[in-house]
Amino acid sequence: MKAVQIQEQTRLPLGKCIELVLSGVKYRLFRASITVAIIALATAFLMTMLSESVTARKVADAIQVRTAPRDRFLFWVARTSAAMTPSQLDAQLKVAEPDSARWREFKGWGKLSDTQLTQLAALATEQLDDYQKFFDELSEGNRRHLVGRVSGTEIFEWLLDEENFDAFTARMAKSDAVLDKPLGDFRQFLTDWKQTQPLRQAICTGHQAAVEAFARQAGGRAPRDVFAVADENLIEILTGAGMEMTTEDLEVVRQQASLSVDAGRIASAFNIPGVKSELAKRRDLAVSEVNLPILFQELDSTGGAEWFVELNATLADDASGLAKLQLSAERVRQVAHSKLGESQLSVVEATVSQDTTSEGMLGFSGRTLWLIAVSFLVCIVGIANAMLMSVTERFREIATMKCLGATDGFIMINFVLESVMQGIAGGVVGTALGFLLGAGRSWAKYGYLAIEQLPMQQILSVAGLSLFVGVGISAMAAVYPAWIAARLAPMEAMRIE
Amino acid sequence: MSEDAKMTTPDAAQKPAQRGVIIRTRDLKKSYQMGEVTTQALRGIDIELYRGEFICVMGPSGSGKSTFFNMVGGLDSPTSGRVFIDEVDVAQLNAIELAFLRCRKIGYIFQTYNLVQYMTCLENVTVPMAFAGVSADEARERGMNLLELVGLADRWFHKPIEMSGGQQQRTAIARSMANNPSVLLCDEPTGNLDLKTGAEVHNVLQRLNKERGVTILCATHDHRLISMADRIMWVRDGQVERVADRSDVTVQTGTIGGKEDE
Repeated sequence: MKAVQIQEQTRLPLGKCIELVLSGVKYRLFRASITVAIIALATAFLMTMLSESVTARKVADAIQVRTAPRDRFLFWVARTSAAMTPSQLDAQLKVAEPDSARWREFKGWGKLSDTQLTQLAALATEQLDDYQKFFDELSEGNRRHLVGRVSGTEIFEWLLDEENFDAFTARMAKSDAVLDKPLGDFRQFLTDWKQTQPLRQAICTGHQAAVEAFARQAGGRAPRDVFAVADENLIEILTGAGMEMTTEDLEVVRQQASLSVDAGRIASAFNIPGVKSELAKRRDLAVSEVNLPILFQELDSTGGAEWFVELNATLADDASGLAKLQLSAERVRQVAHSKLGESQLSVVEATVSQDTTSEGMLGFSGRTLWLIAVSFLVCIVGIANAMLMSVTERFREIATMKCLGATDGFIMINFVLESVMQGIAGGVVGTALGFLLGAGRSWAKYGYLAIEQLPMQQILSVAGLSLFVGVGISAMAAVYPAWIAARLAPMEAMRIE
Repeated sequence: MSEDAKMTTPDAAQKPAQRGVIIRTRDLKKSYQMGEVTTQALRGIDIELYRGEFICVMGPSGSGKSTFFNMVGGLDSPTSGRVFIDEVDVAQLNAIELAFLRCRKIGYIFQTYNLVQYMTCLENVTVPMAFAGVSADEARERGMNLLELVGLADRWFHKPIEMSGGQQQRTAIARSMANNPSVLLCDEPTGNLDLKTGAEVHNVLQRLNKERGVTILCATHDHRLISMADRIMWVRDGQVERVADRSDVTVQTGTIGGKEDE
């Protein structure tokens, strides 16, 4: 009897596998395109979330850079107008670096040593916040129960009383409120806080003196007007009052102050009788509809600015002097432009601050992270389901192929190749779609800033991530059922169907 | 068992029993675990199939016919017992060797044809050749020859969906012959066909058996197929009830509702 020589089955070259897969995909084009569409949708969802988030962060950063000069100006106006309160001081202590300009000012105003100031800063940074947060986050009922009607820093004052603190301790034990620090530490903090209170007061008093000194030098003029025409002497005046301003600061503050002053001039010129009706005519609006923002829109063009300057020249009463513009058309336009930009920025800033916070993982806010996690899950479940379906509905084909001599490996390669192809197609389409959607949504939310600030580098990396997720999950989701199908005896696979 | 090992090409004039054994089963058993219940599908089958013979297997549904087929074809593994194909113990083969066996030594023909829907007639026939590593050109030539043999050479470019059941089954037969197997396993090959298209399949199977000397193991209730067989085997309750030469059995053909035996 001649025995058959049984050998290992030939392995198909990859090219042949791809050819077979492609002809299969072509035949099931409709089914395949639905699978691809599901992958594309899931990937697009993920991509939209990711690209929107990175854009929001970039826009937020850009806004911060753009509003920085104005913020600095407002900061200087505030500190030269009135002394700060102890709680404002605490907020500033948290961001003051040791031996910075602010630090030296505090030291000078309160006549403190470095050690004392360090203690103050440490209290403000490490403890005050935590305890305040604890009381702020208590429910209304809980707070009433624990500390009665007092609020804010009064709570600390109230708790300094031995009796009150004991009552507080007893009630804490019974309530569900959790203070994640030992009560002993809290007690210690209260004592420290009380002891350092005079130091804080000293700084504020020193500041008050500085403000008064500055006001004397300014001769009754508002800080804004002083800054608008400031020169190097201002630095000396401020130094005399115990405040430190750099020449760089001076330049920024002067520009912003002069913008502010000139905007004020334009606003008062706008109130001259007759101007509103002229503007209404020019803009084709009712007189009641015109306002300052519309004026600025009009002035943000050479024609508009020139019209306004001429109008002012004819209308302004030399005798009153108040409404006289005293600005060139070029300057009017410049001021209007920056004012418009400012108001646009403040609108976008409000939107973007909802979408981004400095807290949370990777700089995404909790809400954004949650959405990304959900879209990730949707992506995984959607793709896994699509791939599972497309494998299980072909068990008969798998069984037939095995009867014809296909090895388990061929079946696996076949399905992995197919799913990778579908994954790539769906991933690319989905990523592109998601990018467009994300960019479109950002544009709708943040306006031109979103397009201008589109973070291409980050978008590319999140696109890579979404593509990888799309392809990876497709392949992974296909491997498991294909592995099951490939290992089954052909007859069992046919029976399952 | 005959020891006429010199035989390489079967001679039609010889009695099948003289040509040597191609498939041998020893106490073949298969049981399925269905929850708590164990179903005995095969209760020990011992049978020898001779090279070049045409044997029909008959039996009511649930008799274990299909299970027996799957064991012999290496499509399923027995619970105990052994299957030898050309003296090779199928149970000893690993997955890749089994693929080799299915690809070159056995041809399968199913009641439902099981053609790959997205391939043309010719592509279907050449799939096993691709698995066997035959070059594309050679596969095409051999495929066309096979299609000619089953009378479908002019339809090679048709998809299964564009062909009649008989044509599809003939394509499936051509495909099963792709790598010149020594055994054809047919599971109700004409079960889904009417008399006329069934006849096309009968003719092809008969020619393969007589002209090419292919051993055919065929489960069927089709009397005209049974009338072509050399031997008939009855299976009942997972056991061989009776094996008889066809000449010892009267088979009525051409009537609908004719009795199975006598």
